[in-house]
Amino acid sequence: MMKRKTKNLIEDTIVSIIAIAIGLVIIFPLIYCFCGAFKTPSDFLTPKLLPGSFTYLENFKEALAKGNLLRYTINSLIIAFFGTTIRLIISILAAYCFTYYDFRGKNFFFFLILGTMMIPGDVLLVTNYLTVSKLHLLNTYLGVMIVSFISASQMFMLRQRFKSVPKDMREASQIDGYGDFWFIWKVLLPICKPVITTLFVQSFINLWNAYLWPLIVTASSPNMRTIMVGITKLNSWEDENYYLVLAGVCISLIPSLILFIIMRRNMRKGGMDGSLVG
Amino acid sequence: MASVTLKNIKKIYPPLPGKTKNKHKTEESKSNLQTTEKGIVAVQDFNIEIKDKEFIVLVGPSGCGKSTTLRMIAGLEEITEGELYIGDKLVNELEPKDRDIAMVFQNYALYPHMSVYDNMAFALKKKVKSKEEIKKKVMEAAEILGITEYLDRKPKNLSGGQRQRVAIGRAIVRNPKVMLMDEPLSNLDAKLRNQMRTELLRLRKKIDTTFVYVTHDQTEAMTLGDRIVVMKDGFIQQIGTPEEVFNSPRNVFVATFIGTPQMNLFDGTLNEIEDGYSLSIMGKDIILPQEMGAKLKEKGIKTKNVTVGIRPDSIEISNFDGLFEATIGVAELMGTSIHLHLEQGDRDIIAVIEAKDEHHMLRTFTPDSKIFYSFAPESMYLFDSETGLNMEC
Amino acid sequence: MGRTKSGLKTKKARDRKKIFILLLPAILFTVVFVYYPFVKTIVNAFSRVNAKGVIKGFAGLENFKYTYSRKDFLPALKHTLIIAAVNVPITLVITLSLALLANKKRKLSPVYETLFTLPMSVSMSAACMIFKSMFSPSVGFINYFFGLKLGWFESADTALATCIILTVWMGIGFDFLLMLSALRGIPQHIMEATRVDGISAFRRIFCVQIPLISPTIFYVFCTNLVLAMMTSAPMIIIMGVSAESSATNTLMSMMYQSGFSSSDYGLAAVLSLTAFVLTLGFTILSFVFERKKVHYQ
Repeated sequence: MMKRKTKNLIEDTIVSIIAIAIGLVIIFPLIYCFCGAFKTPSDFLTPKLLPGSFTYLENFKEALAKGNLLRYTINSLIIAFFGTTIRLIISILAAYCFTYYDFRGKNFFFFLILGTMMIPGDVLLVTNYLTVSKLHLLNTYLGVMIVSFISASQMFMLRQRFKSVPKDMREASQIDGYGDFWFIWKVLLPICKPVITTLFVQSFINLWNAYLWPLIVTASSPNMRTIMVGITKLNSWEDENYYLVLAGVCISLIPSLILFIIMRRNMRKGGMDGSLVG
Repeated sequence: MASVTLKNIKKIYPPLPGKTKNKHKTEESKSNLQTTEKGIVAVQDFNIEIKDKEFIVLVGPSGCGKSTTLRMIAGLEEITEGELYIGDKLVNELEPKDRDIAMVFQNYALYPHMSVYDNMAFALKKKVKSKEEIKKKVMEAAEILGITEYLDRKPKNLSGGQRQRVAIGRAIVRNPKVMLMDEPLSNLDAKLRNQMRTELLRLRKKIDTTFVYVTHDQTEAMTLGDRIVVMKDGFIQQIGTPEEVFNSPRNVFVATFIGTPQMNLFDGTLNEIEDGYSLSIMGKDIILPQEMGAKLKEKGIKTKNVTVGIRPDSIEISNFDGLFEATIGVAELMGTSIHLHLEQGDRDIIAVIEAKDEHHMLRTFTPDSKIFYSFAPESMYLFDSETGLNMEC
Repeated sequence: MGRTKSGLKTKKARDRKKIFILLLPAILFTVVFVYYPFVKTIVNAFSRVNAKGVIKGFAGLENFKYTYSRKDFLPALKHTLIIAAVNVPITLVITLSLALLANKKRKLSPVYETLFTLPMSVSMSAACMIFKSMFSPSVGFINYFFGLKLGWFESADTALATCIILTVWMGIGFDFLLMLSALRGIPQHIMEATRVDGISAFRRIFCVQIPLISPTIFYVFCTNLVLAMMTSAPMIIIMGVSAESSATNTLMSMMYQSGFSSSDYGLAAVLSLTAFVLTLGFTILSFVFERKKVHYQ
């Protein structure tokens, strides 16, 4: 008995060490980025991994000031927050409708929305650009957000969750005198809070990380860029100021990394690991 | 607080092409409900006037339309045809919240994210504005139900019985005109159910309101109801006080549904003789009592195939002689009484005998031994074999 | 209050109004920003479109002829296919191995699980900038570490290799999670049975675990295929959009160039459509194959 236990322990330790080593290799680009951000320009010329010290903050200051990253961060925050909120609201309304109402054409509309998952967004870039430009939304926050207002996978996951809420919950609140809006707000959403939080965080990261669409829509107004567009403008081919770029990348990574770790913990606790598809 | 009148209420579930059938529909499509081109008829010809402060119990097997009826009164199901009045107000088109009703759900439907207090207060917030008022009413209701000490807990930290109380509390704080209860005790274990049933009786005296109570359990119906509505396949079978339903069931279904153990049924033939009727049953002839005969005579009945019903406790057992002979199957001691299963041919007859009677001690009922039984002609119920209707009313 | 008949309608009408309000936003955005542009792309491919995106008449197959006879079309197609062909199997092998390694829950599980999944929170553009710096010929860490003197982005081959490493890296986190939850979703009693039966680790993996999670593997395969076929951002970010950079174009980055630099909407539409049809074709092919090979429980 004792032997088997120790054998298992040794095995687990070895596997853990190997796994962590592999893990470090996998996140090496992030380590590299973090270290590079603290290098002085002269440090950078000798391509060692570690910087002279982790107290050199000039790169961050310069990136924020010269690269206009502060403004871009604010732009990104606004876009990610409001884009996510509106997207969630629209998904919640649709999912609620599909869960609690019966009507003609229900399946049609449901699959109409789900069908969008079959079409890769990149194919639609050009036409959507023209649409947004016709709506005079180029270089606006709304223009950047608008194409992400609909998310079929989010709508689908919400519907699945709503369906698992007992129907008499809604009936009880109807009898208590609450209409659809108050039922959603006071009962349904609080019950489904873990899923909503996960979806919110996931969607926030998505919008925060978006690149191609914001690049196109804000092309003619440098002030409206998002941070992900901003960091790619910090250098050009001739310029080898990578210390600045890496500092900018570090800044851009902070919110998504924090949110990501929160979300993972949240999901592990809620036992939702399996329901992450999309 | 108000009367409830149902006039010719009818409910048809249209055949849905979509996949989203709710539980009630699938449940009901299993039974022998009438289907028309418009869909499945879950309830029809439902007429009743529920008096103010009356306790009405809708009882019947699953799929008989009792829950659908209740949900129509609540406004959770649309009424296909007919008129529903609460007080003297037509409420067909009113939303549930405008009907001034409260409902206790089978699965309690407590909001899991709210404390007991909030669950009860939630129902009040739309009706009462002041916080003190809400608090006062919640505390009152909690007092009545004895749940004051759980007010801060979440539903998941309560036992089944406590949840049940909270569900009832949530309904009574609103002081509704009509209180609707959908099988409220069916999720409790047997002991707790009996306890809650008694408590409901006590509660009823404290709350002055009209009750409509749905159950499939005839004991609950008999003990709680001022009047009972027995339903089957969407039709009302009989409306009456517990005594009426038990003593003069309108048809075979009601007779067998009400009362445990079930009524024994025999086939027989009724013949008119000079000064009355004789009933031939399993090769024996029984002369009907005068009173019974007179009633039949009024209806001008001559010869007829009938179904004879005898309650288990009307059967008399004897070791030596009696009208019929049978063998003993199983004897179940139920405490104060014994349920005795008799076998006669392929027929199973149940008799209930008081256990105190020393002649009938359990040990005298050896399985497979012979026994005689008989019954008083007055204790018979006669039903028309074709229509199933009670021939005496 | 005899309003039964008319009242019946109002209740239904109220419901219909609610349904309308609830669904309208979702349907509106679906149609305007997904189905309309999709159809428009198809229409554009068969039309003469001017530089403002206005259709000037039917063009038949002219756009297709023009696109497919361009000198830079075949290289772009080739690059796209290479990326898909290399990226997909590598991702599958890496994520599956990682998931098998991490399957058993150990004390340190959360640590290495987090390490494995961390790349999925990194944005495409951030990853591109990091890789661009890492692979920089002069100051990059990779050349220094391996003692190379490669100009990674100067030849099309090495540039493509860099892009594949980049896209594989970005996909690891999410696909690992999917594989892991599939592996952990295998009923415990099945794994116990293999232990009691004394089946070797090798056979346990290849004869039990992999067949049992084959639906997930298939899902990962399909999503990766689509993503790989749509690769464009690394080309655009790292290589920039210019005439010289077209040496490493994929279909979608070429589409981006034609659509946004040269406003050639006919060309862009044909390229989009080509990429889409190819992707769809591969996906359908995999579904045909899947019917034979994938086990659903």
